[in-house]
Formats: sequence, C-alpha cells, structure tokens
Amino acid sequence: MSAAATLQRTDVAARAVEATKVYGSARTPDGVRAPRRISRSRRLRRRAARATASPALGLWGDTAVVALDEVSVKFPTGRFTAIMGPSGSGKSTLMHVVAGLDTLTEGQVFIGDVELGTLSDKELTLLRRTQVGFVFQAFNLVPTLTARENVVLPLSLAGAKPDRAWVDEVIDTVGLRDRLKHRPSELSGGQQQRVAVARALASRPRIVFADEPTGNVDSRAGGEILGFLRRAVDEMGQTIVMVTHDPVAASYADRALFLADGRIVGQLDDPTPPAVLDRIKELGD
Amino acid sequence: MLTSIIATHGWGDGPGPWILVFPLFWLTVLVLAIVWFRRRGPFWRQPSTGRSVLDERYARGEISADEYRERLEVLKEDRR
Repeated sequence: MSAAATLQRTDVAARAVEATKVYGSARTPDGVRAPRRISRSRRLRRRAARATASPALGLWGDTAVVALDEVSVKFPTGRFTAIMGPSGSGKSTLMHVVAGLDTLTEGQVFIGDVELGTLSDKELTLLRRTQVGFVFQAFNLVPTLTARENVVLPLSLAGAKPDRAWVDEVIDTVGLRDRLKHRPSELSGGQQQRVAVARALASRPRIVFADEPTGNVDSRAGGEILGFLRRAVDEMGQTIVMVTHDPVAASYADRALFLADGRIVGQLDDPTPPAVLDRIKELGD
Repeated sequence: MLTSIIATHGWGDGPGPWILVFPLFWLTVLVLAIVWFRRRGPFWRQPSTGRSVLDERYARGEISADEYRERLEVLKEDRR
C-alpha cells in the first residue's frame, strides 16, 4: 500500500457524537437508550457495590461521576491522534468507549459507519476483532508463547488465516525479525511492547488504540515504539489514537486533543513538546 | 464338535430372542449422541462461547492474565 493511495482516503475511522459516560449511578437521563442488559448476578453484585460505596445515600445513592461530558470528536483515517489530559480527565474513558470496550450512558460512537450502540455483544466482539487493534501500557502478552506466536494468535483464534506477507512487513516495521523465537520473559520491556504493537497491526485493523504505550518502558525504548507507531501511520496508512500524559509522546502525533473534566478543552495540530507543555500550563491555570 | 451340534440342533430354526439386543444397542447409542450434541449446542456456535471470547480477548491483550483468570472463574461459577 503506497502512501499516496492512503492519503486520498480522507474519511473518518471513528467518531464520537455527544458522548457522555456517567459512572456510579443507576439513573439515566430522559430519552436515553435503555441500558445494556446484564446478568442478574452481575446486577446484584453491582448493586451491592453501590450500596457499600454510599451507605448513607441508600441502595440507589447518587454517587454519579461524569467521566465524559458530551464529547464530540472525529478520528480521521490515516492520522495519528494523541489524547492528553491529567488523570481523571476522562481520556482513558474516551478511548475505551470509542474502542467498544465500554458502553456510553448517552450519545453515539461510530467505528466506520457502524454505530456501536446498535450492536449486540456478539457483533461488538466481531467488530473489535476485525476493525480494532489495541496496545496497552502493560503489554499483556501471553507468557508461554514466542513473540511470533503472540503476534498471530489473535488471528488464528478468530479463525482467520494470517497474511504472511503482511505479518512479515509488520514484524520488520517494528524491528522484531531477530526476536521472533523469544518468549516475553526473554525480551526487554521495549521489545515486549513492540510485539504488542505488531500484534495490534497484524489484523489490519481500521483503527489502533494505544493506552499509554510508553508508560512502562524507558525513554529510549519509548522513543523507538513511538517511532514505529509513526511509521505505521506514514507507511501503512494506519489510523492511531494514543492516550498519553507525556508531551514528548504526544509530539509524535499529527494532532493532540486536550481533555479536562470530561470535556475537550483544546487541540493542537503538529504538536511539539514545548507547545504541548505550554498548552498544559495554560489549561492548568 | 460341540459347537457344531449346538449350531445345527441346539437353537432350532432362526435367531433366538437375543437378536433384539442389537437394535436396542444402536438405538441407545443414537439417543445418547443426540443428547450429547444438543447439550453442546450446534457446532457452528462453538466459537462464541464465553470461554472462547475470553481466550480471544486475552490473546489480543485486551485483558491481563489476572483479569483473564478472574473472569474464567466467574464463567465457571455461572455454569455451576
């Protein structure tokens, strides 16, 4: 896939429309889609947890926390977006709801043209399988498998035949060629995260979500990983959304979004570390 | 010598009542097979059991090893 071909695609890989997420309250505002059905045991467990969390307020106590407050955002195809904000600003929640790992209280989320709220659990699993890749701070590799096996396992579990040429390209992109037979315990943190990046790219997802991908590695390895993510965008036309609180990490992105108190409070195109720092300072005042 | 005597004279004409054992045996096998497959659900549904969804999420790194084990326990619990 050439860079020119991918640049022509100016569509939106994922978007959120007035996305609102409220934690800790059973009550939902009027006109809201009925909550997803959950099992009875889980419901009872949640109820118990709620009751113990706020005994004074009773069983349905109002302990609501608004993690996302009517956030509307678009993630254009073939672009690298960083989501920034202090802890508790809702940046991880935004990533989780757009990735279909969590459901919204109100609003809509689309991956491609598909609204996630209309999907059953099974359809959501299928959509995540084919359209979404993940990279997490803690790598989450299977310890008993080699690097290569970790990269192709999700594909084989999904019943898909790994595209050898593509997997090879991905492995070369993240520089894992000489580490394919190693198990995670024999790899450094940076190398493990490279395996996780390759795993996320292997299924050719429409969009990759990275949650603090450099949070568990030293700065040199972090720079390498960010470089690989950048290459995946530039050379493969991959769409990436990365949650981070590190201005240097954000500078690898095409655009940085700033969240505070569940709202988007700023945006920076082609961010540089000093510009990001300035913006953070401004927002802090 | 003895067997040939039994074969030709001992049991008279045609098979004895023991022949019924064969259809009964196969009927039992068939019923057991049907019951077994019914309980497992149709084979094309197999990949969407809770366990395999969990396996896949773990393989994709969506959940950590600890979360995987924890949720596996819950699944076993729910199944009883």
